Amino acid sequence: MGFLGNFLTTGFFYTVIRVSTPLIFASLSSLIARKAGVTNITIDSTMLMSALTGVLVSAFTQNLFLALLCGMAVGVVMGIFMGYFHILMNTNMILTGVAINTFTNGATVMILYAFTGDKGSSSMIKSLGVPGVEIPLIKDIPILGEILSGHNIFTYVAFLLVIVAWFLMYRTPLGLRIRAVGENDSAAKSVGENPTKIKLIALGLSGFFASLGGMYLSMGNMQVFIVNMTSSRGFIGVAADAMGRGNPVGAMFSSLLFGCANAVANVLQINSFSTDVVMAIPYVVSIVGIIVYSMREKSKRDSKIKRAIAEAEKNAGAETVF
Amino acid sequence: MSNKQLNQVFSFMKTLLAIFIAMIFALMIILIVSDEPLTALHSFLIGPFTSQRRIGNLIENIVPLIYVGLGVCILWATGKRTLSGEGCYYFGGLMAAAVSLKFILLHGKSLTVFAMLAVIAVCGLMALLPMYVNLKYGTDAFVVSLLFNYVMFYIGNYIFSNYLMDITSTSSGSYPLPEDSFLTTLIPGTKVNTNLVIALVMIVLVWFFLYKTKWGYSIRLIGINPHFAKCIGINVFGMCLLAQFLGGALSGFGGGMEMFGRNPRFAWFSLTNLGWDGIMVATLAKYKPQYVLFAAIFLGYVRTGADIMNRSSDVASEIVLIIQAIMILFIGANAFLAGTQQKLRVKYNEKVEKEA
Repeated sequence: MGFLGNFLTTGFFYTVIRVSTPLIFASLSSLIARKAGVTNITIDSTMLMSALTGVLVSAFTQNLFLALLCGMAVGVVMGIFMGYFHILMNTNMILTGVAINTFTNGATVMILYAFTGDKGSSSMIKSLGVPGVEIPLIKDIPILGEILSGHNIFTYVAFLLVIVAWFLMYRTPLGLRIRAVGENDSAAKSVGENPTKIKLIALGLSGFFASLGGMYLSMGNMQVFIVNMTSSRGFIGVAADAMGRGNPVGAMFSSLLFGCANAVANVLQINSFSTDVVMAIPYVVSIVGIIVYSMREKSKRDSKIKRAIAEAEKNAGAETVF
Repeated sequence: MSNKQLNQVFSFMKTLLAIFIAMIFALMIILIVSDEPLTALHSFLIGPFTSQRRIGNLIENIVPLIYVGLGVCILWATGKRTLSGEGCYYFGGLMAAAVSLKFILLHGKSLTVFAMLAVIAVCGLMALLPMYVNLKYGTDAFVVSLLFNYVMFYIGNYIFSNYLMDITSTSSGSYPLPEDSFLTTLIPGTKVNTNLVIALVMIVLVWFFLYKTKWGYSIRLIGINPHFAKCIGINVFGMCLLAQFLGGALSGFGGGMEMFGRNPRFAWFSLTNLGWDGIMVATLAKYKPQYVLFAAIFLGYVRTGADIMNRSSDVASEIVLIIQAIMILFIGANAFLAGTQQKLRVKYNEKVEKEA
């Protein structure tokens, strides 16, 4: 076993789930926005903003519920703000994203500095956290219990939200509208829908999911806000969603894959492997994943077109002879 | 005045207005946050011009912004938006340091030239990947380039920490770079060197390339209408890749030149964020290389001012990021003042008609 033994422990799988949690939130957030036809690259900054809000509100009011509520509200506002500029002000999607990301990078530091006098982290103030829970029956199962039980509440919420997101997208009128607008907003408009409104709702929801991911980092995984603590998890979420083929369950599995790469990186790092090479693994995996996915999509598309052409030729051949 | 000129004047006024709004925001934030707003404002607005050293600082800050701004002008000219400038800028700096430390066959200025050629080749090639897979398989070029930047950083950091790091020295960084390869200093007492002149020449070259050559015209045409470009027989695939190569090479060039005079050692422990700044500069310049200089001067000025304010008062320098964000939002917003523009245009045309 030796080296491989490091990976086949319950602790390793526990870590995979732990580090995947924010990625699942981020990928769901990206998924909803993308279904509405918007590539949301502000997920990372939404997470950051919500993480900070949660920490500050909980530290100054000592009210966990209020803190969570404020964090979520900030997330929704950020999402709608992005939508406002992108859709109503007709700004390029990437430019809006760049502006909001830049704004957040500055604003989080300035707000943190104004409230705590520290530019790096909120360790000066005492903020609250969401506790972990043991699941009654599952925790007694020998190996599975150690892996699945004892996680933070946010983690269970994340997996629950995968199902909720799937239900929302494929089994509710709102989900249908969001998908319709994303596919073709002129068509949606022609049947009396308001694409602007639906897109804004979708981006608000996207912000909501992202905010949970952010608060998991600063109120679940750790109980402190650190500047840039998301370390581009929001972007990995976008990648995971791209790999998950627009399906919430697929997004969850690709998030777990990235989480796995992260956990492997952690273990290898302890074994004095070069950290740089190891740290690059999740990004390389993402890129390869996206490319492989796109290749498959493309070949699927091509074969569909080919089939359509063949059929059209057959039909045409029946009528006219070239 | 034709409609086109009218639009140009209006877009210029809109940019000025966006800058104005952003500065008003900054003013308000300073008034709220600071206990001594006047000192803060003074050092923010006047600070960069108060001593020769600070003017030198200002120019030093402007030069890299010119390179990354030009880089984004070319990278985005085909209408496909990638973020390769960020990774290329970092990797350019690293390559320049690596070559000048490890390539012992050459000395002096010939080493500088050789290192920069290596930078151009490597960074240009690295910028191709996101666009290549986009054109070939339809992946999202922006997301892939974003992720690839991190890969470039970790590759670079691996080279840096394993081959270039000087562990014997107290100051953390690479081995000291060979001084005989440094560029000539222009203003004594500062680090302003011939890099400034080269950057200015680059502006002219990029302008010439994009507006006066066949390739440049093809690239811009793809940006305006890729289907039309394809229909009239332009090699869209090749031209998109060419734009990425040049944009990446230019960004890397900017990073590499930083190593010859401004820094005694290579000491970048993270991505520089200059790729994102390039987007700011290019947006401010309306993606036209001829305006990049002004955009870079403005951004460099705001940054230098914020740095000085950070040191001499209680306002954090991160306020610059907020100013930039507001500027970009308002400049990028096509619908911002669009109604007013239309009204003015109608009014103007009516007046002209009446006179005729």
